[in-house]
Amino acid sequence: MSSHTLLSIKNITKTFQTTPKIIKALRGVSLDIYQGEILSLLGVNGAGKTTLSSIISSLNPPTSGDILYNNKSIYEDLIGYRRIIGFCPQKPNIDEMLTIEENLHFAGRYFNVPEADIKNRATQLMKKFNLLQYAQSKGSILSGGYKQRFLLARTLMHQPKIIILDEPTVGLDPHIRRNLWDVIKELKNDGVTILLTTHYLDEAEYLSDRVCILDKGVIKLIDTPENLKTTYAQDNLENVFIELIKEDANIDVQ
Amino acid sequence: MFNKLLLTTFYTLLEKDITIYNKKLIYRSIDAIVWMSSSLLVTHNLMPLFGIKDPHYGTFVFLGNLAVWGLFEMLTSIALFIADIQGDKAISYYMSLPIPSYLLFIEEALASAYRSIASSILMIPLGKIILGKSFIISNVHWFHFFLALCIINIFYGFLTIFVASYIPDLAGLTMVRSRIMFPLWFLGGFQFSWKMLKTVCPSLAYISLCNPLFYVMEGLRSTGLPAENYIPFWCSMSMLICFSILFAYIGIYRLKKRLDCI
Repeated sequence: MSSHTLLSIKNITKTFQTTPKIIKALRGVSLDIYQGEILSLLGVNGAGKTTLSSIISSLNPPTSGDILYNNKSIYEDLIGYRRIIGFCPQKPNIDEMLTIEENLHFAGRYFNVPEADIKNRATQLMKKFNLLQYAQSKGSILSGGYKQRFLLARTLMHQPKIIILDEPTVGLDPHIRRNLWDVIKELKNDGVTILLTTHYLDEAEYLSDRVCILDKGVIKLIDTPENLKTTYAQDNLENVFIELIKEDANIDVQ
Repeated sequence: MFNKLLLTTFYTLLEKDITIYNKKLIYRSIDAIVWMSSSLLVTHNLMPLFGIKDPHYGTFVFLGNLAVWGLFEMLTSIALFIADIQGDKAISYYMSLPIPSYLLFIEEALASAYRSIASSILMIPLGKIILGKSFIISNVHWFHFFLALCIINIFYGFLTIFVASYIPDLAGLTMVRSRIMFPLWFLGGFQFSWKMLKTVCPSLAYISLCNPLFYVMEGLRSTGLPAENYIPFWCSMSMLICFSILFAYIGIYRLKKRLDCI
């Protein structure tokens, strides 16, 4: 992990107008994402992690605040920014009538990858993710684990600088999760910066260089898993998380 | 360069949707054939036995069926769209692509137009086979005919976006069928021309000019039947283009707001 800042999130707020009340999903979130790191966003349901990752993916606009890439607001050249990110959604939304190879081919063309490179890149990725035997199969026949592998492959077709993974292992069997963790680690070794949203604390602990714990729309803590375990004198991230929740509950009671 | 890249993404999305649809084209073409043949067998073969003597009646219904096919395809497109934004949210992946969201919705409308045009193509030779000599091919202004088919289905594409922006969930589809499609269809000149309506009820005829389906029916019928009996072709097409722009503007604005996209 380098200390070069790839993305700077500056004082992001997000408010949802719902009848009869206004929900403040994010309340002034600021953080830097460093090149080559895996940063995990953690928090209980409603903490704001999906909202934050959606804003960083440029799916939704913030109510206020900014995101800087190379010290320039991403909103000044949103299309350019989208070319350097890869978004991997939580639900395996494959075009099921297309074959895996066709899906990857289109994914490359969306980002204007030269035709000559698309085939090589698709083959490389299918090899990397063990999808080669399914190249000519329709997306509908893939199991959950393979669909998730395909989504990762699709995300990487245009060689993005940062990939945003929204709960990539949710609902998968433990051994398939482990397998995907290795794949994600490999991506980091290849120099890809990864923003990971997850509910699984063991996953965050195993994969992350840093974790960012969100609570009620604000950053509660951001540090390496090792530092957090030392600070809270716990042997794993799950216990740290539970300690934090206890602290919160005490504050709420007082 | 920038615009070329945008267009590449736009065109690739459209090509992807066309590729997907072509894989199931045969099933939708069969639906179209069943719809057209059953309708023409009744109107062309049975109705004359009940006293309808107009020699153009079969052609009148044939062109009306072709014109209205896209309206029924619209229901499928809306269902797919609503099911996606409520379920798998495949659209979230497409929203992260290097393309502005308004172009994504325009692409969706054009893909929807392609779906209805492609599935209706086989209805044309089928119509000729069933109608035989009553459908005089040399009377058809083919350039106008295919232009009308494109404009009409693009109109349906934007109507799809517009209606989808108002439908909260899949349960709302029954409302689309009963409150939007049927009134537009039955009051839109499927069974009569605008000039016929004006003869019997001028006030309703003028009110009906607000119904875009009238321009759909009149526009296509004027390409294959005596044009003097219908609203002028270019007038119908211009009105459909205006309605398309209006529905596109409102539909895209509302969908952007609903999906909270940039």
